[in-house]
Amino acid sequence: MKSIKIILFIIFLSGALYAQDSVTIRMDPDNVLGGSVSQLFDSVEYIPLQTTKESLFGRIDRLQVADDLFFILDRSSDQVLIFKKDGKYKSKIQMQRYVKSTTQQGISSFMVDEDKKWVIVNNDTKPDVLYFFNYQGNLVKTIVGKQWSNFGYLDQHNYLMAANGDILDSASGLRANCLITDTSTKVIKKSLVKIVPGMMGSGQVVDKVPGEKEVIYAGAFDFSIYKIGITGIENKIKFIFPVIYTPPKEIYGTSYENQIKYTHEVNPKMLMGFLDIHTSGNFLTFSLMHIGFGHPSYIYSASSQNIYSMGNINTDSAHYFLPVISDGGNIYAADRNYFYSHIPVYYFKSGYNDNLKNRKAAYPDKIRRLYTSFGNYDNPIIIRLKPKQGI
Amino acid sequence: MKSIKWVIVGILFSCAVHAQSKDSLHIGKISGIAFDSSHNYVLKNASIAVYNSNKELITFTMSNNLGEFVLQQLPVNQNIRLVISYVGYQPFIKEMFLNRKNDTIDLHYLNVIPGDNNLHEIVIAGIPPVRMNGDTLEFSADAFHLDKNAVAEDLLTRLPGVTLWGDGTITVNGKTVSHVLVEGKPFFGGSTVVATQNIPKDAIDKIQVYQKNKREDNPNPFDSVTEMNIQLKADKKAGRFGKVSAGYGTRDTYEGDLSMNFFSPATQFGIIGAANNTNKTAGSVGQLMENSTFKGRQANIDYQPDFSRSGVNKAIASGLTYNHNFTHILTDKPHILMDNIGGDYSFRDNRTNNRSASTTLMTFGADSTLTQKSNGTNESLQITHDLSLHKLKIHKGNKIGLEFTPSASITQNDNTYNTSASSTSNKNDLLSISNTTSNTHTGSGRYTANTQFNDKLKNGSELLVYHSVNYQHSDNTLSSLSSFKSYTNQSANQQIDRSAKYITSNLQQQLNVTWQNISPLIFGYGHFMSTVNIDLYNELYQTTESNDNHVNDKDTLTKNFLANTYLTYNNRLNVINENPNIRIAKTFSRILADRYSKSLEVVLIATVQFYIQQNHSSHSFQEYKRDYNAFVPYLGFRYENDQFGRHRNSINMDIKRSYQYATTDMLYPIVDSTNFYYRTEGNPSLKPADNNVLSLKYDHTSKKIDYTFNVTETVTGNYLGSSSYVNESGMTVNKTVNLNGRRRLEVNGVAKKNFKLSKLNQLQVSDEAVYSNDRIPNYLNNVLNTSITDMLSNKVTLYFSHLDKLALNLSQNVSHYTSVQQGLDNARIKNLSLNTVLSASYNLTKKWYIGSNLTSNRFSSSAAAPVNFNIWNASTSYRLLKGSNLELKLAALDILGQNKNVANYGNSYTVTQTVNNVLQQYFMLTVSYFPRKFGK
Repeated sequence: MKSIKIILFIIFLSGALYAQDSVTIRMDPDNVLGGSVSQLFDSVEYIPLQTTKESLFGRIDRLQVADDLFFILDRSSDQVLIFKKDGKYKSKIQMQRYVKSTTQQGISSFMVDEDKKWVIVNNDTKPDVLYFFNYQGNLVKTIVGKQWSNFGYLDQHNYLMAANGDILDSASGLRANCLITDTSTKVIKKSLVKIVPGMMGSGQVVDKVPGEKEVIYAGAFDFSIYKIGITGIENKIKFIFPVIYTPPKEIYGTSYENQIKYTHEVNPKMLMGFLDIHTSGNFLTFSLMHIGFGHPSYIYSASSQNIYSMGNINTDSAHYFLPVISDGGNIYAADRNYFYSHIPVYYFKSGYNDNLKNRKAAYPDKIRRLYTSFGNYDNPIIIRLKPKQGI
Repeated sequence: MKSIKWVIVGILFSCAVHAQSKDSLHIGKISGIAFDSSHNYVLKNASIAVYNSNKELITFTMSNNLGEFVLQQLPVNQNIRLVISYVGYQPFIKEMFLNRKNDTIDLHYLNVIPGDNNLHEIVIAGIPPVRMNGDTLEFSADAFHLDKNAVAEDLLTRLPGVTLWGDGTITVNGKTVSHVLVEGKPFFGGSTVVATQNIPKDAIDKIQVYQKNKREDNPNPFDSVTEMNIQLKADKKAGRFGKVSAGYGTRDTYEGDLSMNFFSPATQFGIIGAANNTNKTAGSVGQLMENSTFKGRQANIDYQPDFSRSGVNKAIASGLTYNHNFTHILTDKPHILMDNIGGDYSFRDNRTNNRSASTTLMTFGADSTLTQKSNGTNESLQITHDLSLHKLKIHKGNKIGLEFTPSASITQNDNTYNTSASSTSNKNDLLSISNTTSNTHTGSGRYTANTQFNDKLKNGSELLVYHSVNYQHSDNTLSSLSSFKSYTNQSANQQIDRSAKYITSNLQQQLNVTWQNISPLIFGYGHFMSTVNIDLYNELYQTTESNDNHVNDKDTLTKNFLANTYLTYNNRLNVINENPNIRIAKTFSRILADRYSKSLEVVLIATVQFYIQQNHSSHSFQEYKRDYNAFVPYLGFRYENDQFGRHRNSINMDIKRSYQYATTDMLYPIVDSTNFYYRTEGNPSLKPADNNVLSLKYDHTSKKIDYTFNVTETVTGNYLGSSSYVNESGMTVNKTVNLNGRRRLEVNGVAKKNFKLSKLNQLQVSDEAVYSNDRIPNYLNNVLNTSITDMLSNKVTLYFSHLDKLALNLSQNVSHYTSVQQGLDNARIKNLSLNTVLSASYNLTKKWYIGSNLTSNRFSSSAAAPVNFNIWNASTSYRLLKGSNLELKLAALDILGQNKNVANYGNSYTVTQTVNNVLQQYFMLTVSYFPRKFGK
């Protein structure tokens, strides 16, 4: 009896988010919740990224937290930089040593193989090649194959791969653009999700589920988030939006120009999919892709089924009114317990000075030391947020 | 997002705006937090406004990132209404009363309820004065209660963060507005004042301010310009406006203006006319429109006659302007689009009566000079018809484009000259005298057209073709009677009675073909050479100039006009200037996102120039053909350092060479015998001059100050200089010779700083300075001489304004010129001009305006005695009728009666002062009526 209770308790604690095979979430982006930082987060921590000549970079285009390290993609310098969780610099992958490319035609995406301690990278200039680097930034091997647009690490034998178009698995006869392959990426093990027919554009979101051999995936115009393990789709979260946000049936199958015209001229609110999906415990964060202005992250709490917009979170006196999220209100990464965002140094300093002037803020020593340590050209600051359970 | 931030910060810090004047009752303060309790978050950028009991806006602001707001300087002891507005929410309304004991209230959290606004609520709450609509800042015109006859400019002066400067610039929170559009399109040619000084404030729905990317294909928030769009109300998108005025004054002076303009959503049409004898001239239809606006002035300097213009001038002008915009409906098929079609036509009739007296001093040494004096009268009539079409643009998608801009004009010129001249030595000995009377009639026509074609090719390169043609033709008929008497050489005496006809035509064409971005085609992609920009150019210039001259002089014996076989000739000059070149450019850049962007561009252009001159003439000595070829290099560096949010510096350096070729007049001139004081001798052995230029430009832009600095050094080899000698009659005979040692150094700089002294007062300070040093080798009376000239000019300007009520302008201009003849005992000549201008304008009431300006001039020169004079003008105007459509204006010009026109200029070893007749003191009364209707 006791063991059954423990098992049930564990099932309960593992979170209602993926307890069912399929979950439906109704969301009205115009009616989401907000709040103050103290109401939603247990802690906010600033982690400066060490700035040296070697580690100086431009902008965080993509952030992944894995193996107790920060992996940062900076497209302006075409590098993936690796920092320890305390912000100390570890190493970097300089793609330009291997592929000369023009601006914004370099590294497109990457994933981390925590077992082999590899960082696997693709490149827009040579899109049919995957590059495998070790944590020291040295190239280990390359694989020439299909043109993958995004990928995620499942385990030491399996990768989740996504392409811009459906790929035919000659063995099964199935077509899909989201597949499980072996680590050579040449053998398709499972075809999972097809692209949505009749709609323009492509692109997928892929992110690792922290601490699990699972990856979350979403495709363009497919308003479902899939949790995929080595055996296939384990869970699915289906989103339903109000009519004004939903692509109307009559534009499916029409020309590219017609669909562009619809989104630009008729209804800029129409959603096209998800951006930046992350999961941590009972929480799911995502942002919505549309032509209009502003793409903040939303936090879905499985326990309360509430949805909060990070764009409606305001800082408060408990955190000295300092900025706690990026300018656009975005979450960029997650691990088991935390969400991560980032801000440039000038944004932090500007908030610090404004509060000194307008609120006569009395900062603790830690914050004052942090402020004085920053130079104008320093690397961005990682912000680590711990969401309150039960919100 | 950054562009929104600076706008929001500007709004917040500029905080409250007062529609009413400030007084001691405005001591109250309200603060609070705009909050949505149903969703548990604060409302950022909510519009918060306070109205009085008459629903007039007292002040407004926007909430910050924490939903907080503070409104200060509120009136006490009266009912006020606080309204919070936010898109998607019902207005929050709170009636309040502040008294002296309780003048500061913190409302804490104010709950704003979600829901759509309905008209009833807007009527009660009032229209939010400002809001963020995505990336666009919008001001609602109806939220601001101004005088019923206020125009857009009056509204702009009251918007927080918006500043109208004295030079016509508009800035929004320090950012210069590059374009003011109406309904998203240029308004009557795109002139800001035509839009802002004519459109009534009541016809405006909203004023939008936004950032527009300079390149649509590469959006960059740091490489964008600020634009302003005036959106009209739905029932005001068509209308008409204009001006009819007539004025008469002392000395038989008169002025008249007519302007009528019609506009609809797609079409704009205007007709204008003007007539005056007070030196008011406008060169184009656009200028005439700018001078006929409803508001009439920018509250600084009134539009007034040009007192510095020489002669007494009568002008008649009229014109038409038309423009139609096409609206395109995109389909799935490939399409050819024309954006708009339109053009301008103008007619001008200018008649001038000019009397001039000039004195030229030539120095040949410390004690050796020659003075030439001349007095002349000129009566001229010029009639011009101009027609130009607006740029015709046709494009197919974004790949292929064709632009065509044609224009044509016809001019008729009639002139009558009477000139007498004399030449005197430094011992005051009279050397010679001359007299000339002449009549000329010229009919000329001009046609120009520019065509540009571009096509983006499938291989990634781009082809551009540019062609321009300029054709001019003139027929000139002359009759003259000239006499010359020498007191040192009687054989030089002559009298000429001449009748002549000169027919000239000139055709200039330019054809440029450019093949851009060919590097990947040669080297492929993915390595260093593919990042080097290589373009191939070919620039071809072709000129054909032909003259057909028929000159007849009266024979003193037979009294018949006989052909002057020397001056009767025809010739045709063809010049081909072919320049194939290759342009290689490489940009090195370092960008640290969100921190700085630095780039260095190196440009090398290697040109081979083929220059062919061929002249055919009925005079065999003028037949020649010359061809040259030369390597013409160019090396340029462009460095830019943009420290985001702080400052931007750029340095440009150019090193280039060009060639100047001798003309037919330098090689084989034909000398007109009626030019008694100047003759030319030819020099067929002339070689081309090579100009080698090094120039440096530095530019700094920041929130604190803007300045620019330029240095240019030019060294010329085989300079086409002059070898002159003055004969015993005072006639200068000049021959062009190649000389070495020609150098020029020019330094100039501009600095500007704007000060916003308070919400209502602004000050603008600028300084412009130019310095040049020339070393000009020449031969003078067979002595090798170097003329070293220095020219320094500096202008400082201060401009102060208080809203649109008071404007003060003070400027000081100094210009100094000296010339030293190194080979002639360092003989020195100089000029000095000092000019001080003080002007003021003031609106006594909304209808009554007064203005005045005083200009003080000081001229001194080695050639003549000093000249000092002051010009003082004043005017006052009053508006009548309910719509302020009728204006009475009284103006007094040159009240002190001292106006003169004096010009000092110098050249190597000469300095000249010329005095012309000018407009004299007069008083005038003008009546103007402004018909206008916006909407149905």
